Amino acid sequence: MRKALPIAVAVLCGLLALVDYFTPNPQINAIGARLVEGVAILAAFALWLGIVNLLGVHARRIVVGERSRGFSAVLIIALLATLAVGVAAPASVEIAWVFDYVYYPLQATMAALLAFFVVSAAYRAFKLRNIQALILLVTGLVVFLTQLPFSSAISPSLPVLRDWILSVPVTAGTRGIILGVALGTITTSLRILLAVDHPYAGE
Amino acid sequence: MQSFGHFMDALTSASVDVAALAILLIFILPFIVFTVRAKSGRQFPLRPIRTYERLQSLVSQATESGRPIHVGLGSGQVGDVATPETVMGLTVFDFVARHAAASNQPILGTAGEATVLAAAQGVLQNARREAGFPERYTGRELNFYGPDPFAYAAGSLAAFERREHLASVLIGRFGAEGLWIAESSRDPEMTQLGGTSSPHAMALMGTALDETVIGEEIYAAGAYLHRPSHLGSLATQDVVRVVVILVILVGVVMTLLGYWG
Amino acid sequence: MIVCPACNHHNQEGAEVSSSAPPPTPIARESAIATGRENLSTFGASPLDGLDNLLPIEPAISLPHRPTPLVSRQPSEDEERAAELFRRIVTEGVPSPQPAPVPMIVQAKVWPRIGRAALYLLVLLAALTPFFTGGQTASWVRPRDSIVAWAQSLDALPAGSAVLVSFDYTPAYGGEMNPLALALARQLAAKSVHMVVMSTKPEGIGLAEQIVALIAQEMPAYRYGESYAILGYLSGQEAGLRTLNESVSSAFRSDHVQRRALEELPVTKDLATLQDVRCVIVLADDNDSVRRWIEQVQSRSNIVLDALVTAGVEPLLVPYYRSGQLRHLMGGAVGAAEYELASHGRPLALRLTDGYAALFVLLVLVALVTNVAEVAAWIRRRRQGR
Repeated sequence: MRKALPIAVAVLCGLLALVDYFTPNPQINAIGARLVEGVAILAAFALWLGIVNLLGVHARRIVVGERSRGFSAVLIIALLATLAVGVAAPASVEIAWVFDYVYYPLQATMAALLAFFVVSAAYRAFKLRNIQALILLVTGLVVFLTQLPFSSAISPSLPVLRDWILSVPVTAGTRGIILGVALGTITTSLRILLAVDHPYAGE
Repeated sequence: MQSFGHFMDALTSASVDVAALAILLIFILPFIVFTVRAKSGRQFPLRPIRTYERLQSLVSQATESGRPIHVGLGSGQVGDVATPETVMGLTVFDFVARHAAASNQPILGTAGEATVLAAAQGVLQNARREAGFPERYTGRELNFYGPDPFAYAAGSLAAFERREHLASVLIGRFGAEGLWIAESSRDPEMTQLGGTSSPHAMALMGTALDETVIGEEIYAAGAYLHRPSHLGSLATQDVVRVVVILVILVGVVMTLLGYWG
Repeated sequence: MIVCPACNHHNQEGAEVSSSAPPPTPIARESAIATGRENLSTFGASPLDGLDNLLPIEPAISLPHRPTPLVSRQPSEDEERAAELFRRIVTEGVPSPQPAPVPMIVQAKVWPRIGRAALYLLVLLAALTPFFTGGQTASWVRPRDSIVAWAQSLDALPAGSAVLVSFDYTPAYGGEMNPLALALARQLAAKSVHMVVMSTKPEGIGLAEQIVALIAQEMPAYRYGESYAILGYLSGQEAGLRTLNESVSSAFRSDHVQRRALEELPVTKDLATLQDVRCVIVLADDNDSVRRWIEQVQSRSNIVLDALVTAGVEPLLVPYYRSGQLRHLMGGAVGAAEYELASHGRPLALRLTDGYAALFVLLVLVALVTNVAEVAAWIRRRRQGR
């Protein structure tokens, strides 16, 4: 019963959502819409679980006196302060200030660091150890050249080459990967829909 | 032949999405047949995927060395488009967790989304209980950093520094932050494995990880990690892939001959 | 009186088992046990009768448990050889054809650290190049035909018509997307096209507010409520977009800034469904956002959908562009530079094109250096091998 009930509920909800997609029946559509809304609401409440986990982990580090307790204290203070401002004054000047002067610069900084990592990864990837590495090197440099804003000034055929690269090999490869991922998605979903795999019930 | 095209147009414009229903039915029959066969013990030949082979040897090494394995579950949510690859990340986490629980070893799991955290907590609790050490489950082995992907990356890196790990497995929904995690935590003494279904992120992570799974190989995780229930779905994927290839080839030939398009 | 079965002495006061007595043979032991039993049976009713310094049941307890001595024997030849071999294995070292490995002292790898630091410094210099060179390559930029066509299609929008703009990117990609968003907003504002702004990501609204605030500063006549409005964040991803597709007022009860009903704002009062906008323009940093718009909105209501995305995501959306589900697809800061030219807008991304040139030169340099280093290492290994 302990396993059978969640499996039965999951299978029933999954089949309802599936039937909702295929039939224009208003009652089933209404149930399907409620189920989809329920997922969004559950995800929002799950965020509370994440916040509790975060607070618990970092509070413990402070209490135990770990080396990184200073960072944990900063995290907890920042979390509680932003939460308080966001709940007390949503869409206000204060929350906009937090977004403009804290969140935005931090996010932009972290994304900017990727440029350094990409170049250092390129340093390793461009070593000509085998034929695949040679193809990678040539393709990478050619694609970057065609992506330059002034590539047409270097050669009028570079924009044409860029369009061809995007339209033919890239599209073909992307479609292949999307098809394969779609097949995997369907079988994984079928496994859960038909209760062959039920990770939510402890297996 | 043109009437076939008209027939297809009429079919696809029907109020019920007939094409989607047909695709689903094409999947269901072989899925049931292969799953029954797999559960009855029939073996399916699998080509070697280096990532999963290394993972299997790493869990044994973790038992011997006492150094934990980190499993990064990514920023996907259970309940959105990233659900299938997130579920595969949980499958890998389940495999590593069971080995860790059986040998009473620690494990580190990081999640960038709260629904994944909840699912991973259930997986780890179950693994500890089935191994006979339910009291060994602590909430501290699973950390939530998110829901922003870069916040998850920063938190995962901070989690690495606290303890020496044998390996890091990044499997789930990753974006550019996957490169950041993989590149920043590179260590000759720590193996890094992983994969995601996004081609963009895969290209970035592939340059920094020791072994990568590409595209739909992520969905083969269960089959390679000794779950018979996943073998059937893997066989179904291959069968339907052959069908799709044949349909594409037929379509290309018919279009070239002028019957379609 | 009890006779000691080992020495046949009568037990007297202070009697003790003779230490010189030979150990009993198995036959003697059996008879001793029997004697012990006999002696036990001669006792009277009281268990203490006849107790003289020696417990009467001592033989019955101790005699059977005295160990029999081992019979010594000579080892066989095989056993002697095995014992000798064992002794040699334990005491002698194993001869090795190779010399014992000398423990290597791991020295700090200085050169790789310096190399990495130098590489990062070069990346920083490449990014800062536009500040030193002042946009030398900007004059070389020529916008592609597709971008010129799109700019012209926006130019052709009549004044007062409405366009829905969805800011579906995060601040992480603000550096790449903000120039695109600004160029778009400037062109729409210059043509007095009404902009209805929303987002399917919580952070997108903050970015939208930054962009429209800049436009409002540059063009005071472009006023909130009359020329543009911010609807807010649309939650629920697919479900939210499906609701939006059915009716705008079902998805948004009021606007985000003034909290007024949509019917009260001049710019949104006639906005019942998405068919009432000329086109939907999605600014996104991931392909999933654009796919959701295609699957939940464009495929169901056949609206005109344009996508402005990051350069990394653009290749993933080309199949949708080729199939006609996207009217237009433009990517990244490169597209922004070309679009600024095509729309005669203020050059923001154009001034940064020198950075791309510097980065390209750096990548070629990286490819050269890494392979030269690899060849040098290979030559060194060959020489050491000899």
